[in-house]
Amino acid sequence: MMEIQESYRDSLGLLNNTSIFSENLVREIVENCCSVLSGKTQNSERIFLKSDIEIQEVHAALLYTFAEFIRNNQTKEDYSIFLRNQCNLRNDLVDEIEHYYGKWNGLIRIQLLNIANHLPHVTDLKWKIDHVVKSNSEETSAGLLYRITLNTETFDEHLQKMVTKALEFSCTSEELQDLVYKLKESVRHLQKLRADN
Amino acid sequence: MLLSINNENKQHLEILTFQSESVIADFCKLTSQFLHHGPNQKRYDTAAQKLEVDVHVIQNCIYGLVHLLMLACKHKLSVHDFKDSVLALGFTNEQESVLTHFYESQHNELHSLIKPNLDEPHYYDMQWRFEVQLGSRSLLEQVTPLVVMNLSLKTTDGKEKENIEHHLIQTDPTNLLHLTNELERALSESRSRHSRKVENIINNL
Amino acid sequence: MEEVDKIIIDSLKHINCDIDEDINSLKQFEPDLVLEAISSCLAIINPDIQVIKKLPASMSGKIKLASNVAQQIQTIGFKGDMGYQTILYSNEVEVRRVLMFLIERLPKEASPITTIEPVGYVARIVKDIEDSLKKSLNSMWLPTALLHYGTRQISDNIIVNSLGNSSELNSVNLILPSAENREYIPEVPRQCTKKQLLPSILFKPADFTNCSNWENLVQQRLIKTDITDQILDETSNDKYTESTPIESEKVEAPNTLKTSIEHLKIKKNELVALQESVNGLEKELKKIQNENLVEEKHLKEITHNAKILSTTLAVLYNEENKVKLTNSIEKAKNRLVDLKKQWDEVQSPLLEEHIALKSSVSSESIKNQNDGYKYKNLKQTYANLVRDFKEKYLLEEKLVEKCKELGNKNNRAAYTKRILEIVANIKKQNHEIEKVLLDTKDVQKDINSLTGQIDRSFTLSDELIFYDCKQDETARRAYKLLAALREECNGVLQAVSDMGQTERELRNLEEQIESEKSKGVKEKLEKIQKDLDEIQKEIKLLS
Repeated sequence: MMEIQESYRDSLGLLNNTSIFSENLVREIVENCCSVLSGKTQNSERIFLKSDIEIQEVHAALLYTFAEFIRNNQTKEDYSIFLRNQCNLRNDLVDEIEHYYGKWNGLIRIQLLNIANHLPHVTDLKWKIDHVVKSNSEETSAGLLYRITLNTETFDEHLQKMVTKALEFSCTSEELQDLVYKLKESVRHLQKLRADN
Repeated sequence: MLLSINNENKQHLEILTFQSESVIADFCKLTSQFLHHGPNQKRYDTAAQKLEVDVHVIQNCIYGLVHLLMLACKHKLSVHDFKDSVLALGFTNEQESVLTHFYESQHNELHSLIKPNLDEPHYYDMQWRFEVQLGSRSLLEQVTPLVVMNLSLKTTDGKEKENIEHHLIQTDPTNLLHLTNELERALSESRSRHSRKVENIINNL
Repeated sequence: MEEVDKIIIDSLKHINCDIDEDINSLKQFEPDLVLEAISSCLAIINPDIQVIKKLPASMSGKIKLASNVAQQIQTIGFKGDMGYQTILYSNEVEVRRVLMFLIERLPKEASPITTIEPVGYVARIVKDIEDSLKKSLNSMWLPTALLHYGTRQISDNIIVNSLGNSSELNSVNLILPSAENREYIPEVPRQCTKKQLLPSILFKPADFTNCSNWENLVQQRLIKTDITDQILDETSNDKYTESTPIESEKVEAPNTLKTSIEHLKIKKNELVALQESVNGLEKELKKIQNENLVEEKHLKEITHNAKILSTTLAVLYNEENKVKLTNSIEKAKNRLVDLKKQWDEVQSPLLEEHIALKSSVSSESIKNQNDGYKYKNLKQTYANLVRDFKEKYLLEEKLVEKCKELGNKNNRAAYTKRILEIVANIKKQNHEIEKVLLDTKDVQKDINSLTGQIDRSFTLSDELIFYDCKQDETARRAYKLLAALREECNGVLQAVSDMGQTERELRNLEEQIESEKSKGVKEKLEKIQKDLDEIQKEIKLLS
């Protein structure tokens, strides 16, 4: 079981105060949290124009607990138990927040998945077949030459966005045969591991 | 096909037509040394003394032989065609068999020497490893299958020096399947009717 | 045929076809039931086909529906004769053929061995890996531009198609909002870049240089407040010095105002300087006074000491006093030893007690610690147990569901039993057939031997009589008669075998007639006539 710091629990407990947190405001805060965590938006001006310190606290605590629970692969039921038993939130609030947790869980997971994986990821390739007709060293045709471009994707820390880089190389038929053979071997391996057949 | 050799070259080689097979074999040896270690003036001098000719004649003869071999390689002359070309230069059958043998022995080496070295990365090797990411610091429980590949590419720079670059890349099963299918398609495309037609046309040019 | 029917009905029940318990042969199938059976099969074989399981009331509707279904069956690959009549006027044989065909075509049970939900971490992980591999290998390739951060969600699972969006784990120190810092700390998401947010929330940075992000912000805001304070001060100062009447002058003579303000400032500065000097002087005065007090105290002490010294010196000069003193000192020494002994007596038990208590306390604390550990462990095991329980509970639910499903599949044993019975039956029949064959062979042998005997006896008598007839007239006649007899006999034999053949043909024909009768062409024709009439009636009604 995971432990959540008391300060966060206390902050979430503030939600019980109906004089500050109307139903709409709660919804707005939670929704904003989710969209911030899933990378959809960054600014949260709309709520925080009229910002009370309590709102900011709740917002921060929601950000933290959502991230931590999803990091630990907890279900929305786990989260709602936490809200109910450890933060003593009202049932309607718990249900509301649980609903958002369930809805955004996947999207936030994707963000967590996209941290610290540095290898360029191959997503596509282009190929063309060249026929070498003549070169400075050979008068007659030298046969086929494949030119292959692998599209790889990496995250550029400097630009703060994903960039596609091309990895180009050429190979002869025999070498391509070798490459394809190796790739097919790996595919076969994966297919063997796959659930049925 | 017969090689077309210009007159100058023919003149350089003419001296050989009057020599015995053993002398021709010696010339072949000199040529092979030339190819591997460059010219050897001393031996040319002794050869010139033996044959009682000018050193230049010997030198030119060696150059002529090298040129003949290069030309043959460039055109990818078969042994049979080489024979015919040599006979056409006025050598006897016996002399021709020595030269042809020499051509046969040097053929592969010469070919690798004159291989095109355009400065582009060329496939060298690929190694793969299948791994499943079961957890990371930011997501403790997950199942993310990944295939990591080490793609080795060879680049040859101007001085015949081979550089092998290693590219570590990764991909997922879906993309792996896609890549494999695409490359297989490329392979089968080269065996397609269209591709063969083009190949025939080019070979008959 | 009975067995086949049972199997067919069983399979039909298995695909949720509503068949009454007391129906146990295809003979009892009504057209409605036939349609239902066929369309249920069709629906399973090809889920895309839209099937109606009830016959409509009108004749034309019935025919249309039935011929539709018949066509669908033929498109699946049914080779036999199939038309609307097969369904509407169910003929046992045809229906059996169609249903057998359809049941053969039913897709086999999705997976013959239902995979048992794995229990335990490793097994679950392995299954997850298999599942995710299956999903990602089976899903179509898509260019990344169409994906959401290189991933797509397929029923709960996330398939990763590109990790190109994966940034470094780069965290900065976040400051949580609280009442003290709300003035100058921006809300959490704005303290870092988009990609830094999640790592920063989850992990404290190891590298403190990363804090610079918000430090700048804080500084900027602080300076701002300073400036406003200054401005406020100045304006308040102004208001203080320039009372209302001067405000009118402000407009007329800004210069004088300025000079006067400067003047005032200078004066103010002077005042401040003077005050400072006064303060300094006062402080010095206090210092001096303090020093004075200390000195006086010192003096008193010294005089006191001097008095004591003078009295003791006076006492020491007396010898008696010296002896008294030494005695008293001795006494005091003795007493000290006594006291020490006493003290030891008192002390030792106390000390022991103390040590005992100490050790008991330490053992207690160790116990406490152990208990604490135990408690923690228990908590952990409790959590694990709860987790396991949850898993097991889910598993149980799933298994119960599966069990329910499996309930329907119990007829597997029944099938095999029945198949075995059939096989036994067939064996029996085979045996009987062999017997019959043996019988016929025997008969054939008898016939052959008989004909052989006839032939032989004829030739024998032929020879005998022929030998005699050269000499004997009667023998000649006998020979003639024999020849005639032979001819006649042959005729009779021929007739007998012909009779057998015709009998066989007759039987064949009878069978054919029987089968034709069972097809009920006449009835069918009548029925079709009736259908036609009804349709015509309907048409008339419609027109």
